[in-house]
Amino acid sequence: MERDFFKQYIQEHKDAFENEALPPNMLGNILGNLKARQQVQTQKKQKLIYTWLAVACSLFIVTGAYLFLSQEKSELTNTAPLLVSNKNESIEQPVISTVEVEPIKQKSTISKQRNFVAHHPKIEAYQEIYTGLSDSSSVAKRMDALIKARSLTTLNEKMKIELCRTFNEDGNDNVRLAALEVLSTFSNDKYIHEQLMVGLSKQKDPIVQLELVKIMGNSSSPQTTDKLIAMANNPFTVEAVKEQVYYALLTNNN
Amino acid sequence: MHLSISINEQELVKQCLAGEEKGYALLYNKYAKRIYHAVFRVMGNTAESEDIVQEAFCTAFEQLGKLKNQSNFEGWLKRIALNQAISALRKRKMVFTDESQLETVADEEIDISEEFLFQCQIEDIKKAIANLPDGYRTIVSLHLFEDIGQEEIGKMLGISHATVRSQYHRAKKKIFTALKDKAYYGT
Repeated sequence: MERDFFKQYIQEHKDAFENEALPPNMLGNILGNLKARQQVQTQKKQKLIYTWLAVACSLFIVTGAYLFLSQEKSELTNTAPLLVSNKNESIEQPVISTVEVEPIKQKSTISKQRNFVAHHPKIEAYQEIYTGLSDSSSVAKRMDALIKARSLTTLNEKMKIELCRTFNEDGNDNVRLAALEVLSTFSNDKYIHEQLMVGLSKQKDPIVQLELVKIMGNSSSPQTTDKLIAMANNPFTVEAVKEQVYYALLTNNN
Repeated sequence: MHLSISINEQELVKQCLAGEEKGYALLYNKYAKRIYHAVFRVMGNTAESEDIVQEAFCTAFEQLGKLKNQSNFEGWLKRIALNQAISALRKRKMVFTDESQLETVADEEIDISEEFLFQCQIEDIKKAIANLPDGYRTIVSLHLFEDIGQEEIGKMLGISHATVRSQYHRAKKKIFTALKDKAYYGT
């Protein structure tokens, strides 16, 4: 390669070619531009940070909303089978039909009870009455036994004895009155009539006396009349009873 | 001497990296004149050259952290400035034409003697170079003043080595013609 004298000359005198002064205030402009660019860069960085923060926040909100909604959905989906199951239960309401069946069962039981009552032997009914009447500790049981005895159409000897004993000897006025009511239907029976006559002198309760006088007033036997006269003359007899006795004596005389 | 300059340059770069304004000012004072003249020779325009130098310094100071060899700040800064100058020329829609297929001008055709050059004034040579077309002036400036090889100039301008070589010789011929005319007519 040949020697380039021109280039060599330029390189040797390079400083002479660069003798012109620099434009004024270039450094100030450079530093000013540099600061401005740095500010812009910091602003860009801040904007970038804010942008990322905004993106992160929006992502967080979206994720949160999604999770919240998904939870709600899961709750709904969880409740849905329950509703379905409830519906199934409501559809399967043969429970109602069972309720409907129950009256049939009741009917059967009633019929059975009826059958039971119909086929009950009288002995058992008498035994219940005896047991009830002999229970001295409970007035209610004795009253219940007398109510049962009221339904009897016929009385055996033992029943007559028990009812008459209750009428003359029971300590409760209501029990004696109920026993009188039962015996009144069988007053034509000789034994019962005799026991009622005994009652005319034994019974001290005015209400029992009144009812007994009404029953025995129809009797025309002389023993009954004597008992009634004795009651009328008894100073402890209540006026109302006396009036009933007088009425009975007068009607008997007729 | 070179070692002390390198150390100083490294220290100045470190000061700039630390954000000290003093470092920026010292680096500017040290290299601004050379960079400005390099850009001015390419551009041939004071206002544009000033803008390009300012922009080159700002870019260099901003990207100082990317400088691997801190002792070569001047070369790095000059390369930034020259690239920006070439970009500015391109923005002017100036095309560096590829004339590789054209007949190259032989060096022998230019009859330049050392004695002739010593007879010329510096200012005359400067004027002759400044009056060159943009493409020629750019190649001459880069090759003669910045000592950049023709192949590298071709890469920088996006043209072939042969084109750079032919254009350089044509430019040189124009310069000598101008200088001879000046010498002939005398002043």
